[in-house]
Amino acid sequence: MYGSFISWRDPHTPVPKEIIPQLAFDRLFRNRRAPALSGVDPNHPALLSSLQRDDSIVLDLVMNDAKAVNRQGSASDRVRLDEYFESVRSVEQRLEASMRPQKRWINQGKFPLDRPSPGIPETHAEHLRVMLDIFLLAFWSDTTRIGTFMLGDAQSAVDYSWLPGVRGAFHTLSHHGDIPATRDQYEKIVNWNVEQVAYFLNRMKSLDEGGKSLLDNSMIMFGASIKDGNRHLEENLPLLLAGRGKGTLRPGRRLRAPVKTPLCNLYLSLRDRMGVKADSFGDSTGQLQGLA
Amino acid sequence: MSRSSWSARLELGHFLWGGRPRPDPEGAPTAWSPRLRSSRVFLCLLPVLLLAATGPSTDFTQSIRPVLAENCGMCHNPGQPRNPANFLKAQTAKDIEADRGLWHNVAAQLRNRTMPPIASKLTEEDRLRIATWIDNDLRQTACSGGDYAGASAFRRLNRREYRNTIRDLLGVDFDVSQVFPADGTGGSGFDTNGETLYVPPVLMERYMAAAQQILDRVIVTPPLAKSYTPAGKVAAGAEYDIAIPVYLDGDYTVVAAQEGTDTPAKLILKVDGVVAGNLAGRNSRGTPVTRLSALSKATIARNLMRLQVRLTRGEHTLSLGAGDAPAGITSVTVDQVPEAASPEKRALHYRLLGTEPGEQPLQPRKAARQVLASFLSRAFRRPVEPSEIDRFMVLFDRSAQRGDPYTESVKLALRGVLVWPDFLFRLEKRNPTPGIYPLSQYELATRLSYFLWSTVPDDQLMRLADQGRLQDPAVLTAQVERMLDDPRSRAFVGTFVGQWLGTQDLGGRVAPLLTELQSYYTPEVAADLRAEPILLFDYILGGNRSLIELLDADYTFLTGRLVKFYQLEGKVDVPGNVFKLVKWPDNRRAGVIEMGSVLAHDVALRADESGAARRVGAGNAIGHAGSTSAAQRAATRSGQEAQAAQRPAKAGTAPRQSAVRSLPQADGPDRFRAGEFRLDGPLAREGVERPAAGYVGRIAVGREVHGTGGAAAGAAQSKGRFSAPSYRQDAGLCAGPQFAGWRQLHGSAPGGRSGEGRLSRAHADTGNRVERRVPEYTGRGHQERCAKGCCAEAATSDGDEVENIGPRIHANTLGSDGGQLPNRVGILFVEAATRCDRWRLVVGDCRRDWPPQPATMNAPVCPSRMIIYERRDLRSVGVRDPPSPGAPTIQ
Repeated sequence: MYGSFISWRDPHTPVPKEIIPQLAFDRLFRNRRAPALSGVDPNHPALLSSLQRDDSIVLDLVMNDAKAVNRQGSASDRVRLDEYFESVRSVEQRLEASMRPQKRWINQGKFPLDRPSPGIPETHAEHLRVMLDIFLLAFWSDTTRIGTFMLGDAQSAVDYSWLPGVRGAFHTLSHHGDIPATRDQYEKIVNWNVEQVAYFLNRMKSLDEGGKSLLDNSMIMFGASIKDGNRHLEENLPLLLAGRGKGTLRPGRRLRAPVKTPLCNLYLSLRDRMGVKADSFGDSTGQLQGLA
Repeated sequence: MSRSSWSARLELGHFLWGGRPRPDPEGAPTAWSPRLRSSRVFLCLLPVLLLAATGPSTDFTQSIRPVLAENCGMCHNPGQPRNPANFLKAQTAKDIEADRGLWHNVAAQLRNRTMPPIASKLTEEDRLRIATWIDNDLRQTACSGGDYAGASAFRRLNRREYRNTIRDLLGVDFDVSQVFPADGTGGSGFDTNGETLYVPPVLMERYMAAAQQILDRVIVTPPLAKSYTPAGKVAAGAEYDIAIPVYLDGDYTVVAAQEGTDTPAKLILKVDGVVAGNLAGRNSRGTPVTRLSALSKATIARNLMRLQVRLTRGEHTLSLGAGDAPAGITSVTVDQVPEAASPEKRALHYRLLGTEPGEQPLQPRKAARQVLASFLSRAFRRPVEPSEIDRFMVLFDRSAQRGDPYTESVKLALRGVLVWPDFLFRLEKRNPTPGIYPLSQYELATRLSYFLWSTVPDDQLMRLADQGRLQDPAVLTAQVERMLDDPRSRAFVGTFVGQWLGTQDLGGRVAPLLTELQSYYTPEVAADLRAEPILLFDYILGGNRSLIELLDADYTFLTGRLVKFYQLEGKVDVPGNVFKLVKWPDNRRAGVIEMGSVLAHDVALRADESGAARRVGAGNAIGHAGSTSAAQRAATRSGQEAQAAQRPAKAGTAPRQSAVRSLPQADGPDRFRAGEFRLDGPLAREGVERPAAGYVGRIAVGREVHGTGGAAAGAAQSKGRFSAPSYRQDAGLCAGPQFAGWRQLHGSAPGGRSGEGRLSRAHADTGNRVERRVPEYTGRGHQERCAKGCCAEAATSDGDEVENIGPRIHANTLGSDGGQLPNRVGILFVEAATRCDRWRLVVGDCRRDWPPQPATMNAPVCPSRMIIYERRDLRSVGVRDPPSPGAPTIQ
């Protein structure tokens, strides 16, 4: 379970990932609902009874009436129902947001990405590439400003035998037992994955955003939760931070944090740069120094 | 092969009770006896080996906790609030009770050698001693907390259940697998685990969208056709706006008529302010023309110009104008490009609404209320109050007041129903005070139905619930038999087997490497492999056969493809690719455990083992003695690798992980761990290779999911890692060839003993088969409370008594809701205990007052209260005649 998600709504609830390209694409780029009359305030009385509003009304009803029912339930029942209502509210908010006049898309030009066909591409490489492109387009079109991307599950069973010189699956080979032949194969897999990240960063760099590159205005963190898969070392993690964060980061360096610095210090610093101020996050002990 | 022959006996029990039942200890025996088979003594002697010599409390403080504190205290310091797994806060054995799930984890991590880290100085001896102690303690205290094990969580319908429910309610098969996110299985492998059936916002969005799509597929809405007449001429630069409600996504034709003129103005159509295109006239052949004068007046009667646009559901504004020129538009019509409703759809429409498509009820509101009343009670699986119907009438009214067609108004109300918590969750009435209380008739019907059919209760169940008869044992028995006989129970068989054995992932997440197996493996083979164990299970269930055949059936179901896969060409006769019951031509395989699908699953989940282990598995999957087979090559190589891997370890080089583990010889009650085996030589089958001397073969087939993955994925996450109620551990099917069996077979002399005596030497000693393996599935929840004292762990002994060892299979097919295991009804376990002279398929709860007399029991026993059992004289086990082949061919 914990190996399958990196985004969590709360300590107990993972945010499901979207692995089907078409669904990811549609959710990001095709889920807009125009108000019935363009340019009209969505709260205009004439629109409140419109078809577009129906979804909100249904959800409203759930929120007001279903929630009002006094249901006897255990604590765990509560947890489930609260989660349900929380989701209802969240969808409601999303609907509201989607009916507001849309944000201006400042970036000019075309992005070579068609709506993906249904299902999952046949090869892992294709799959990863199209998902990366969707991710890229989402940032470039300012559809979202935050995203998480998993190159694979924590115990990825993806078979990399299609890579020259590799025979086996990711996770299996990660326990290479320090046997050189196995370790080399593992290295090839890791290299390939890092190449994909490099592709992504290069594309970001090539996309113009107001005279700077998209990468300049972004903060992209790449890394793994385990330093050495063979030994399950969870300290001294391999992390890469790319982008200038609109001038708040100084890339091109290797930064050594003091021993035992929690990863959450970095998260805290990144949040801070996005304007989400907090004193602590997770087990953070303070902001990570030296990023700028 | 009717399933009614399944000699089912039902004990009223858990199905009748919410929470954990123990209503009336005195009444239990009487409740039992009448339903037992008359002439036999229904008796179960369950010897429980109590290993703890001294009291658990002193043991804990003196020899358990200090060792743990020394080896784990650095990271798991109880004084440190951020400590992710604070098991050391337990100061006495009693404190373990408060955190049973966590302690179960501790034992599992110790056994798995996933904790403490490699650098620790914990000796193997201590490791096993402590793990065993913990397990024993948990087992012994299983029932000490009383019968009430806690409350359960409402369970959301999972994807399968949702799909089936929609199918049975509305008649449409709506494939949600590509639309809804996958249901978390929480490590247990079962998609019915209430604790991990989350409702993330994205799922809520999809529920909304699905409700719309589903209802669109059932309800026939008359195609939209509207005409508009502008008040006057549209001036240059001006536009004529039409607000149009679109109920269904689809293509719409916009036709504009202009005043008779040979050169009508070129009309531009905008949809919601965005240019959609130019209207054009068309000649009789459908070719667009730009100048109408090119057409004869007969073709273009009134200078019609048209454009087809795709519109989504919602209100849209269409604007027509001629740009800089004035346009003399006389009328505009918007027509939905009609999609003829199929007869099936019309039938579904009628079934749901009681009116023909296009028919408008005289009293729409009254009709809608009737539709809702009937639909609501089926969707909510209980009678509904008028006030509940009113709630949805609010939606109907909203739409009706807007002037929507009747069907659209009903649809909106039904959309509300399909996202309502009472539909999406299986809500049950809870008692305000903790404890055991009876379930209602409807709750019982719902539990039964989702258990055996994965769908809503049918009319018959609901009727019996209405009559209050479902808790009558005879009625309940008859209903279960009826349900098992119903084709819908395939949902149970297929998903249970697929999830239990993990074979459903074959061909998807589980696929062989593209190396040795490439020439054997195709998607069709994978599909056949998936079906094989299901057919076997179905055959056993349907034919009322011995459950032990799950383990030792010398027959199976094969297609031509599988014959090739198993390299049995010429040995068995299976024409074509239709499944046929065949007897294995030799004794290399038996039961489900040695099916390619199960072994392949094992292979894929051996991810944390080295390549050697993987290939051993792969070899097994193919299988056998073919002298030049890939399997053998793999086996040979794995042997070499295994030996190579062994060497540096012996030489005392740096510690490293390997498939080949040096377990201490007397590993005692070490449980089988999935994928773990000890191997001094290549793993071999009879006739392939002789194992090296000292060979101790032990393979656990199955899966074990432990919680170490993604460990550093964020502190926020790790905080909740062990405390999360959803955290589950150690689920899976494990099977081990009996040591005795291996010994007997290979003639080598291993010193190992069987772990906890769970392995069936009876098999090893009786059959000629190469090896029999005993599946051992222990869902955590089961082990937690129910199983430990009761039936499950009971038959453990290291003794050599053949008959006191029983194979058993436990699974929480309905999900057990984490460590609390409140919903016994969610537990299905198939138990077989040889001494007990019976087989049972147990569904339900455990109780302490299991017959017979407590005096014969060494530990608290919690028997199940609802039991479907098959009684059987097991003296014939192992020497039973094989079932006659030539049995039915299964399509």
